Order: sequence, then structure tokens, then C-alpha cells
Amino acid sequence: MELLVQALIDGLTLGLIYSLAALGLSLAFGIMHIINVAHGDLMILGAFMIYWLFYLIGGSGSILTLLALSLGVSTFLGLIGYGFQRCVVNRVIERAPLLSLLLFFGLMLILPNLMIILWGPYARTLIMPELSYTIDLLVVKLSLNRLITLIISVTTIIILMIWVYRTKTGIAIRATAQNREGAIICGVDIKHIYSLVLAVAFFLAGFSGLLLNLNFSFTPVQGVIYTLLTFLIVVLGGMGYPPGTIVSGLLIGLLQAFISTFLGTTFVYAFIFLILYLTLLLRPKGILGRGM
Amino acid sequence: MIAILILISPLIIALIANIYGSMYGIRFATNLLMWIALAESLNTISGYTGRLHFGHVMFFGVGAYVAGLLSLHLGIPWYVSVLFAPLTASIVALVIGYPTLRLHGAYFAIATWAFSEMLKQLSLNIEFLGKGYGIPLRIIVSDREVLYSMAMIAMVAVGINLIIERSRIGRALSAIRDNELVASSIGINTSQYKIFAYVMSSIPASLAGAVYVFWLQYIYGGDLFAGIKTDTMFMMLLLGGMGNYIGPLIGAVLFSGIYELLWSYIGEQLYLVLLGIFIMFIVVFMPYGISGLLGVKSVSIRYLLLSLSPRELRERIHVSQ
Repeated sequence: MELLVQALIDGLTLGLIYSLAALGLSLAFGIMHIINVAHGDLMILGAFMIYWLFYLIGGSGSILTLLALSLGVSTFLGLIGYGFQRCVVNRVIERAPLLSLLLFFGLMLILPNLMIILWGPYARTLIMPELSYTIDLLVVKLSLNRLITLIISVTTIIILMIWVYRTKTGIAIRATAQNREGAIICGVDIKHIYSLVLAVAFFLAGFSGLLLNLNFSFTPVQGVIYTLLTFLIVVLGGMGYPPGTIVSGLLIGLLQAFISTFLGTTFVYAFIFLILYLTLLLRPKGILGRGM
Repeated sequence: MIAILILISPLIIALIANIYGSMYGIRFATNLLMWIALAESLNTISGYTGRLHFGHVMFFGVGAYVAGLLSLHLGIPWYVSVLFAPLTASIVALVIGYPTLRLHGAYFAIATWAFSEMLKQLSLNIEFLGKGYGIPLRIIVSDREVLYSMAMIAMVAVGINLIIERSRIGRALSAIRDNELVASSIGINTSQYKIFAYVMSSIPASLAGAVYVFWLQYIYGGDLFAGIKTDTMFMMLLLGGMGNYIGPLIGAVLFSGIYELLWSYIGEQLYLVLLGIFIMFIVVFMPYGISGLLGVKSVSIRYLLLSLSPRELRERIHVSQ
């Protein structure tokens, strides 16, 4: 029983991290048909920058310092994303949406190697004594880092959903996704919207770097696994359908936690990649059937 | 005439390396010939058919594993077990190609990528397949034997592309690449042709993998299924130009040369960073590759990547009406 609840909590945490990370990918695909194959590498880059800055300012500080740092890092990545879309991707996306795949493919080569040059190939783990406090619930112990992860990811997801579904910018974004020409006629600056969406995607990738810092250790070359994991979540939930992404993110998180807890970690990733392959073959619209 | 020259160029490279080359020269030539074979084999599926095959390294790995394990456990001579590699790889290509080739554009790219990563994870976790620390082979194959085998494989790869390009098959494949809907409506059996191209692309790749594993004397899944190999093949294809048999060869020669000149000075990592910047540059400014600049009929990657999903296709048709 205790093991079961523990696996449930682990799975929920993992699922929320994955959902948050995958939302960036989902937005970029849904609105621009961009396949960002460097998404996982961006997450790792965010994690590394946060880690590096945290130790640059002395390596001791409260959780709020960490949060402020990661907001700064994510905003920085977001600005890079805006510039990248504005100056490079927009040049080719008009002619062939899939061509952007090769641009991000270039980015996928650059980022991990840049991180190895800057910070070395070693695994990093953020050490912060306050994070290992545990809170006794009825049957399980909930450590503080899990609790913070839950709060941060839920808050961010809610803010993002409000932004996409309730604000004027969000309406413009969804309009662009539904009908590009129609949006242009209605006066939507789609070049700006595209750049904004990629900026948000980069921001989310960087911000999930904070959650990686709180929960795992990471190495520069791990990006591919996160890229494929987030791909799986986006595909499973239906490409370009954010609520589906959240559902399938939770599902995959729970699945991974339960497999790790009860069957061992050996074949987790092989199994996950198999699900990705099979989903693409059998249900390309996603389990909810709402994707494109 | 040019076709014959291109076809026998791998043999010429091998002969020059054998006669004039030092140990280093022979190793460099072997490596170059391997990359020619791999880039040409990727061209068969991605250049002519227009499917971005992001998991091409899986054929390389499957071939390497089959040949290596057969020789290790059954004691078959290496040159015989190498021949089992394309057999197994074509079966793999048939089995996974049949369902996967129905997917379009990005979906195909991600699906094959996921499949190849899955094979890598399996090889890194199963005891029989080396499990993260690899299996030493201890089967002595001389460097010259490897060199000439690679030259032969590169010739097979160029030959396959040459035959496809000069025959009805190539025209059918180009039609599928340009517009699958129209191709099927004029009576081309699209799935059959796509499967054919897929199987043909698996043969040189698996042969190259099989010889590579005897050259390296070590079976290690992390290296054999490394995604960077697919990346390199794509780079060569982009650099040289897709959709003709000359482009990948030019790309492989230039790329291997530049790599050899640069990496010892600036290090592997910085080299790869520059490579990434370079690929972006090609995509934005030089979509036809080098062979396009030379005036060879080549497919723009921009054009190639227009292979749209059925939904997008319908929208296009709708808009144009």
C-alpha cells in the first residue's frame, strides 16, 4: 500500500514535469507545424544554466532565489527563441513547414556539444539541504522537492492554459493555428505570433530545467531521451491539442513510475520508445482522438 | 562515362590508399568508403522517395550485430557472416517498413527515430547484446581486407542508386516523392515501390555495419546505434545534394575530408557545434547542395520537404481550386 501511494506520488510529479515540458513542444507543433527536435536539449540547457548560476552566486540561497534564477534563465531562453524564429525559422517556414525540422536538427547538434565545452560532460545534481525535508502524510513521506515541483508545475500549467484560452493573444494564436490566411486578414501579425509561440516553447523548456534540478541529476547528452519522451507525450495526447498533452503527460509519468517501482528500471526507455512507435502507427491522432 | 567513373571511384580510392597510403591512409580511406556507402544508402530512401529516415543507423547496427554474433557464437568465417547482415536487415526493413512507410513527413521521421532508439536501449540492457560494456570479437581481419570490402560495399551502394535513377523505378519513386496522390492515381503501386526503396537502402547500410564491426573488433550498441551516425549521413546528403547518385558521394568525400582536417585541431565538440551552424546555413541559403551548384539535377530539400500530410494536401488542393 505504502509502495503504491509512493509510486502514485512519484508518477504524478514525473507526469507534471513531463506535461510542462511537452506543452512547449505541443504549442510549437500545433500552431506552426514545427518539429522541435532540440526540445530535450533545451531542457537540459535550462537546467545547466540554472545550476551554474546558482553556484555562481555562492551555492547557498533559499528556494525563492532558485525560482528567481530559473525565471531569469527561462526568459533569456525565451528571448533567444523569439530571435531564432524571427531571424531564421520564419525565413523557411513559409515555403515548407517541415524544413524547420532540419534547422532544429542543427540546434540539436549544437546544444549538447556547447554544454560539454562550457561545463564538461559530468552529471550534475543540485544539493540543497532544505529540499530534503520530508512532510509526513498519513501513509507516505512527501519530500519538499516533490511538493515544490507539484506547486510550480500546476501553477505554470494553469497560467499557460489561461493565456492560451482566455486572453486576446491566446485567441490570436489559436486563430493562426486554425486558419493562417484568415488570421492574416483579421489583422493578426502572424510573424510576431509565430515568434511568440516559439519563445513560450523555449521558456517552458528552460523552466522545466528547474524541475529537473529539483528532482534528478542530469548530463549534457541526456537531451535525446527527453526529446523523445516529450514527443511521445505530444503524440499520445494528440498533436496540437494542449489538454491532451497534459493528460498523456500524467499517464506516461504514472506508467514510468509504476514500471520502475514494480518491474525494475531496465527496460523503461525501450518500452516507452516502443509505445511512441506504436502510437504513431495505430493512433496518430492520439488516445483522445483530438489531434491533427 | 561519368556514371562508370563514379561507380568505380570507390575502388580507385581503395587502390590509391593501398598503394600509396600508410596505415593512417588506409584507415582514413576505409572510413571514407564506409561513409560513402552509408550516405548513398540513405539517399535511396530519403533522396528518391522523400521520406526523412531519421533511424537509418538501425540498419547499420542490425547488420553489425548479426554478423558479429554469428561469427562469435557459431564460428562462421567473417566474410560469410557479413552476407547474413543484408538478409536480416532486409527482413527488418520489410517488417517495419510496411506499416511505417504509410506515415508522412515528420511522423515517419519521429517513428523511425523512436524505433532506432528503442533498439539502442535494448542493446544497452540485454546481457546477450553486450549490455553497456560491449563484447570483444577477437576475429583477426586485416586492414586491407576491410578496405577492399568497404570499397565493394560503396560500389554496391552507388550501383543501387545508379540503377534506380536510370530505370522506371527511379521515375516512379520521384513521382511518389513529388505527389503521392497523383502518383497512385496514374497507376503506380506506391506502397510496393516505397518498400522496395526501403529494402534497397537497408542492404548497403547493413553490409557496412557488418564489416565495421570486424574492423573495430568490438560489438557495442551505444556506438553501433549512435544517433550521431544518422546525423552525419544527413549532413553529407545535405551538403552533396539529395536525389541523385553523385551528391551523397561528393558530400561524403568533402565531409570526411573536412572532419579529418579539423577535428584534431579544434576537438570533437567544437567541430560538432560548427557542424550544426553549418547545417542551418545550408538549409537557409543552399538548398540544392554542392551537386546542385555543379548543375546536376538535384532535388531541393525545400521541395523535398513539401511532402505533406494528407490533410495538408487536401487543404492545398482546396486552396488552389
